[in-house]
Amino acid sequence: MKLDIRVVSMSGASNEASGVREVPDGTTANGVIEALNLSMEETYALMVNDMPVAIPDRDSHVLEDGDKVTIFPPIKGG
Amino acid sequence: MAWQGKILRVDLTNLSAVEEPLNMAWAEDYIGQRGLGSKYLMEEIDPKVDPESPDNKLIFATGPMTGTGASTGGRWSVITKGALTGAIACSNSGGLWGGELKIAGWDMIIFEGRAPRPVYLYIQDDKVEILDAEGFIWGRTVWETEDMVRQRHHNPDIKLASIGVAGEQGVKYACVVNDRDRAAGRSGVGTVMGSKNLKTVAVRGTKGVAVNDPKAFLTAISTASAKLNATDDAKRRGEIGTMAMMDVNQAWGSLPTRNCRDIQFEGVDNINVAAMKRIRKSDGKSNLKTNKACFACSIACGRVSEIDPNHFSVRDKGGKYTGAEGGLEYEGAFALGPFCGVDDIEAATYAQALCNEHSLDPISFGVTLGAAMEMFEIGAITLEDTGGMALNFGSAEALCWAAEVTGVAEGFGRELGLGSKLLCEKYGHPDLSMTVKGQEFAGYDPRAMQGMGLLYATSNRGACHLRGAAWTEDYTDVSPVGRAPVVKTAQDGMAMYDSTGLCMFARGGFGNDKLIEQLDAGLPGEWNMDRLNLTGERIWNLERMFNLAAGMTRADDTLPKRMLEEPAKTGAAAGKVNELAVMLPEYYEQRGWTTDGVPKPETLSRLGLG
Ligand code: SF4
Repeated sequence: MKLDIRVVSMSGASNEASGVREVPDGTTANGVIEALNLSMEETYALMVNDMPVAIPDRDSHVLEDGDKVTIFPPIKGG
Repeated sequence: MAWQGKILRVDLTNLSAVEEPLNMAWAEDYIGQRGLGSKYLMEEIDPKVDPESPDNKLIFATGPMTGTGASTGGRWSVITKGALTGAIACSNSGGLWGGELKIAGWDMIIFEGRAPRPVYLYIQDDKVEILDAEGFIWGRTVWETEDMVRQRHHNPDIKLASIGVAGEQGVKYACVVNDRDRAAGRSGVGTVMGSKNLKTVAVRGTKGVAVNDPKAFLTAISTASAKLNATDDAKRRGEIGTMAMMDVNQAWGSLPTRNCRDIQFEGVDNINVAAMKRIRKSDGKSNLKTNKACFACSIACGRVSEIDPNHFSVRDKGGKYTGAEGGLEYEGAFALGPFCGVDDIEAATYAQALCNEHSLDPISFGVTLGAAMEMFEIGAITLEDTGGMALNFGSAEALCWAAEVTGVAEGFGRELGLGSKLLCEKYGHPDLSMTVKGQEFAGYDPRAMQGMGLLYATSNRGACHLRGAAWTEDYTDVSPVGRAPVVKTAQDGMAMYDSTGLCMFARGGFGNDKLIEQLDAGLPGEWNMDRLNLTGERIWNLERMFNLAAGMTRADDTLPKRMLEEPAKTGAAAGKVNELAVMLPEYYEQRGWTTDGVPKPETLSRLGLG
């Protein structure tokens, strides 16, 4: 299945991980983070179709074809 | 021993200044800067005083690490009763001024009374003079003041902390600007300075700062810097600065847009980091030129920008605004941009420059203008009121014009200078004011960030993102569960940290271990995390006691109706409001306060405040 992935980039450049990606059926929210080689500790927010998925739910949240996944790197405000 | 042990007390009414020893017992309990300044304020004024009366005091305070060479040790604060809020105010600034004051031999300056005529203070190490500002720098901009004072005293190394005309004329959110574009920004501390007829504090310091254990201190600061510099966080802050938050808040749906009518901004791509770096067609350059650092900082998160010389705002200004100047930081940018529906980055950069030049807090200014725009769109403010300028959301022309007239407090600028709360009350729509305790929101919508809502509601200086936010939790889910203890701990941590003289952006990088090493080597006595945590909680409760004594109650720990009743339209929190009523009782309990938000006697005695 295909996912529309966006890793919110802090640098203003478009992040290379962003774009439409083919992943195996049954991939979970945490599975995407792994597939992108992002560190588990380092990921703050993850949204599927603009709705946040809380950390405890990410292992059980199975994605569907065409889902839009948004991932935020760690950042604190200022 | 990191503290100089000396404060300068300036009696403006009688135009005299005396040196006095720093109260070391208080320094042990409150560290410096925010904590120690607040302790002096609490001891010396009646919290009920009118902030703009001679009875209020104005304190410029460094922390023990300021000026020592500690990693990012250049911070200083202005502490007073805020003109915007009537609450205790503490506004933190960077740049070079704080280090200079400390190196001149002073921990703190306390201003009392009101000068019979406009004056400025000139400090060269031990030599202190109160000089006339009338006919010289009074009525001038911050930038002119810096140039003219350096010229008069034949010393280009003088550092200044000044107000512009906005501060002189009582704009309620005037700030104190140092080093051209750094500011003790919030709560109207510059307004208090203006009410005292004090234009600038000019300092030249050549002495230095001694520390308790020089050898251990050198090791501590060099290992702290090395640890900090190796982190991605420090690199990212240097490269992108705080503007990174624009895209984060847009994606999460927490970007305050059009006076919080919306929570995501369709024009964001024209006013984010990418836009700052984009090459302009008109002149082949980008808005962002380079970055810069405060005293002893290796991160250098400050933005330096060049406005497009062909932009309508600066075309006819004779090149005054087209040189390299302090550029947009996120908090100014959200307020001058999305909050007013404006996606013109050159216009926002120009408005930011005017804020620096005239001593306006760009957050409060932009958020007040956003409220005025909403009232204009519903017909509560008319063309007749503004003198002919249409204040529609999205108008870059209105933004630039508003910054010009507010900066010099002319015409409708005097109305905008009231701040959002008084302006909305005056024009009959108090619910449209996005403020808490009279202070305008920062760049995070509390409907999508529940912990931020609790923080805004309980922050001792009014709505503020820098008083201890639940960043990780708020960007993980939109639930109020578990926010109260996180916010409480973060608030205490910030209160302590703001008292050291170090920059909050470095803390995550060098970590608590290096914080303690630097303090422990720099200061006499033993410093550890338990002591620091307790100190932070003590400071938070002291500030709370000030506000309660000033007449504030539980009813002031609230959010605008829009946050509590109007659901977010889009984003992570679509359909949700802030659930303050769920979080607040838990927060009071965590704090050891009564259900009315008053610290219990046992809490006060545990903290040494009873
Ligand atoms: S991180 Fe930024 S604000 Fe902090 S001291 Fe460095 S340049 Fe100044």
